[in-house]
Amino acid sequence: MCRFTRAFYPRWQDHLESRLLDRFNLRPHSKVRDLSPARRTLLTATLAMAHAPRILILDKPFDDLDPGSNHDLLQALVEAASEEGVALIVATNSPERMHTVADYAIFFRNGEAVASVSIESVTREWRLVTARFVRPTVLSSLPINGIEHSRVESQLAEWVVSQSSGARELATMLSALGAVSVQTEPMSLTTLVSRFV
Amino acid sequence: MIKINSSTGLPVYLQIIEQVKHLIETGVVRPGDALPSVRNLATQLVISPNTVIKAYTELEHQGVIDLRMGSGAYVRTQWVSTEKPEKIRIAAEQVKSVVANLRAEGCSHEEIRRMFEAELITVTPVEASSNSHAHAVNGN
Repeated sequence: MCRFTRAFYPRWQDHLESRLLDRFNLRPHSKVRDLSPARRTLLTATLAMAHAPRILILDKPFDDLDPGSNHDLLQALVEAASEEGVALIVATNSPERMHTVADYAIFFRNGEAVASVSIESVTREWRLVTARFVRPTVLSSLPINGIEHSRVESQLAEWVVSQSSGARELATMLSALGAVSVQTEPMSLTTLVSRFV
Repeated sequence: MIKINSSTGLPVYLQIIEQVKHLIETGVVRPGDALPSVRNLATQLVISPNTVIKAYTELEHQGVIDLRMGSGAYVRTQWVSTEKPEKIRIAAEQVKSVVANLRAEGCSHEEIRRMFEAELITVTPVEASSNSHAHAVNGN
């Protein structure tokens, strides 16, 4: 398969091919039909990366991968990005896997981009604030900066806040309003997707 | 040598900066030693190379390391942290006694860990960083 594909690419790099096959534990002479879905994904990645592209677009690359090969693929992508300066665009339904790898995240709903955030700002600023009340409490339009989303049931309420200072003010305010427990957590990308998109 | 925790609310580049300083302060890494290359550290930790570049650039800015074109990052010979090891030793003792007290009160390991994390998350990383220069960088 590698021999077939390389014919189309004058920039094919032998050392990249052998390093990727090695990293993904793929034997050069195995037949494609004998490979597991995970190995096939990794072979596809090898074919896409061995000619040293400038931009690599991956469409849900992790779907068929087990945790081990998932790690191998991410590591190969990071290596390509740091060594050859490959720009990576990855579409995924499991954004958590990209949390430390990606620089930016763009969220899509029904094919439309609804939000774009830098991962660093998500880690540093975005917070999920959850509060519990003994009695049903009316919580409408709290004067807090950076509230992106809120879900208020009678005794349980949660807010997605995009400024950590806003999250702190909110937590103080909720305690003053009689919340029995107030919890502030960092946002994972998965939580962000489920509350935001 | 460096470990990344993705659930602390502390950006990865700040985690790298803190840990490199800690490695120097504890003597694990000595002046003149080379730090891992951007490629090696990014690949090993499976993080964006831009994050490593940001951390190393900031460390150079603070005078902790020297970046040499094409050859990597080196711990600065001149850079010696002064009161910090003593401060850390005292802080470690305080944490130790707080944890011991809580254990005696019947709090579980997990409960104590959650309380520490909950307390830290209410402080922004900018405030948590003792270095005034970090303010300027975070403000960008």
